[in-house]
Amino acid sequence: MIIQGVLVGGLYAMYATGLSVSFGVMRLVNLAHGDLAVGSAFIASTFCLATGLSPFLAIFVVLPLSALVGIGLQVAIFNRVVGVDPSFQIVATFGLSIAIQNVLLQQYTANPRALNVGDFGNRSLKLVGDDVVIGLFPLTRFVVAVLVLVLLSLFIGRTRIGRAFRATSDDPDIARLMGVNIRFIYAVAFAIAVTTVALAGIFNGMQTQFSAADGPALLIYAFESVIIGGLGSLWGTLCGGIILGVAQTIGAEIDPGWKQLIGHLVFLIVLLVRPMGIFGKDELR
Amino acid sequence: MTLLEVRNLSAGYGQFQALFDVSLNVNEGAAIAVIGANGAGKSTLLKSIAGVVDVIFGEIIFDGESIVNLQPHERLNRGIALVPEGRRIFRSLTVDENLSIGAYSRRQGVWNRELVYEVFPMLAKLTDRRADKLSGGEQQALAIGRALMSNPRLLLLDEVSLGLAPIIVKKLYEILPRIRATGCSLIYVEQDTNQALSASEYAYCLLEGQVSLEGKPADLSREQIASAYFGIGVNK
Repeated sequence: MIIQGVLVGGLYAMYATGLSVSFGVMRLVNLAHGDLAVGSAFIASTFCLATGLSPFLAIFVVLPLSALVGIGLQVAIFNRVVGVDPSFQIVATFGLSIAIQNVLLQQYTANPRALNVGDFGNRSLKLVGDDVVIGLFPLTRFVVAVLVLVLLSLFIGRTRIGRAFRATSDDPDIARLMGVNIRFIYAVAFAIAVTTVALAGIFNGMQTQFSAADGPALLIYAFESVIIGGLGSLWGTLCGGIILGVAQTIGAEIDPGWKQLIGHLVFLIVLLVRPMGIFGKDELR
Repeated sequence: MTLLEVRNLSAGYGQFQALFDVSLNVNEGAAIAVIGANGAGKSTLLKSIAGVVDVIFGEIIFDGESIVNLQPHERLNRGIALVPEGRRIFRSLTVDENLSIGAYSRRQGVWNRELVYEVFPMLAKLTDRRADKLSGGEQQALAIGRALMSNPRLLLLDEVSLGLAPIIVKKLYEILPRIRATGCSLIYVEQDTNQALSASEYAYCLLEGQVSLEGKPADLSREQIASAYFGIGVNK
């Protein structure tokens, strides 16, 4: 049961990664984050219906597309609201959220859809005799989530652009003075954010149904993972996702109706006891 | 030869004008001091040379070309580096990474990591330490080192002594001649006049956004400096 929760946490962490990156680098809270995930899942489903190919192949089409969408959004909308009054960001991203939801509603109606992965979704691995059995799909999803985080932290920790990421996060004015093109950095950050959330949206769609209005609910999970783990810490985000996943699984075990409730309660407790998050820096900036 | 010429410069922040008709000259390889009280416009002068403040009127000529319309990073590419007031190092990056960002422009020259560590030995043993864990003096050394990594021809130093113990300030100022020896010109802005004047061959004093006095430090009397600095007892 706990393992199951941990594996679900991988998905939440994948949702939250993009939020963590865009907040970490740009101090931008993107309220349309969840809607971008749902939108990507719909695009993947269109691709699968049109071609008859597996959703796993759709990933390779949707991800580059979502990177472009990310850059486009950054250039068209977010560059105008970064570094100004946060209320502008909220209005802009909230507006984007509503716009995406309505476009999806128009295009795909309110009917839920799912991405069919065939019997891969039902296969399982026996770990310890017949007692501990885990699904192959949740395991794959978790491994992918960890892989994404490993790649991302290598990128941010080791590369020249990654260094510029962190410098921009610390002090954008001085980074600019050092010759860092912060608009480019922001565009890359947002491309990463949209790509990771698109991946999460597709993985979510392979497991459950999704519909045009699901975005905000997904956004909540992403937020909770980021806050529990601590702002600005990628591994904290994974940990936050896992804590949320485990809490929800335990909640669902007690009573199926308690799944979300227990998750939210754990989130509130963390917020009360350690507002900076488990891996957050001690100082709140 | 003149490296930098600031001509009749007026600059400010939005509605607020901080500099009025300021002119200044820096020869190649020179060390210039800009002194003045808090709020006299010293930092604004450096920032407008570096390109982070709006110029209202006037010209800034660097190496024979006008740079008034260039972005900060374009000015950096031509060899103007600013050590900002309050150090402003990248707090979550290590010492080494701060220097790497300083070299982000990939301007070629004599300065590299090894030389910075040689000139600032206090940094050499802290390469992997996070910058926010450094002492004030070490942070200031890092801020200067970071600027040097871009191989500047003109280094703008904004209040190097701010908040540091006199012995540390003395140490940092002892290093400046080594920087000049690489052919880099310096402008230092200070409130602490003695330190700045003793390290420079020409000085400007700003008062309420205007040049109130200029000359070779040796030619300026204490009384002249005091009246130009505080704007009292001026007898022209």
